[in-house]
Amino acid sequence: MQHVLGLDARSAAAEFEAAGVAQGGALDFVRPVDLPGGTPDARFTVARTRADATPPA
Amino acid sequence: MLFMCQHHTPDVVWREDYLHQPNDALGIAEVIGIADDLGRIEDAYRVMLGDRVRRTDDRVAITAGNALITFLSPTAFAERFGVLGGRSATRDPPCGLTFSGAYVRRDRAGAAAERCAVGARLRAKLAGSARRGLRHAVRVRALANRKAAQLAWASSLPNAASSSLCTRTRSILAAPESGISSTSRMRRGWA
Repeated sequence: MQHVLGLDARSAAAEFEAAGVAQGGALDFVRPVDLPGGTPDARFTVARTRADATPPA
Repeated sequence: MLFMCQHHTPDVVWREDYLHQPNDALGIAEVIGIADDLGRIEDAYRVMLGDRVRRTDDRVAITAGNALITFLSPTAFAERFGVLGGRSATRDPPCGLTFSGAYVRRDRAGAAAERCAVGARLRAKLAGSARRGLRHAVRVRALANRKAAQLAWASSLPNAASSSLCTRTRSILAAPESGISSTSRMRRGWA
């Protein structure tokens, strides 16, 4: 997997899917952040694996 | 669960006032977990991370950018963190964090003073958050002549799964005083 630890969550999600460990596809979300100069949006894309794909330590 | 988050607006989240840590930590050098079955850890993470996962007899080490995720056997953890590596039936397995840091003083005396200041600040933080049920230990390794130090935090954080480790890591960095009990012990070993 080239993107799991890289900067591209959408590609990482695709790699999770190909490996059979994905928890859904890539998820985009936005949340406002209060800053002294205003309230800009922070934007993210996340990729997740199923909980049972990583055993508890 | 492994969770990967891509920031599209790092300028909004990585704010200047969040990036300066009073404990002088500059980043996370290593996240450490403890595992009875290293084979399961290796197999699961190799599916996702391939040759970034390296296995030896007593550990699984995962290269993650400029940091390291390490799962240690209970014996290896105890060897690294002493009695803090002990496990009991009444608390969750311990895990650890290693922070990277740097000193600003160049001269030898200044470096020594800075080391003491770091230790004092850490002790103050440990004593200042007495009501949490977590036991932590702090190891400070200083390289006085190289202006570099590593702060290693060993703790009994709940749930040593990697996602929780990462979440907890962020929370400690964001609020270093949180979750540290008065029973914490600090061991210092200057390199």
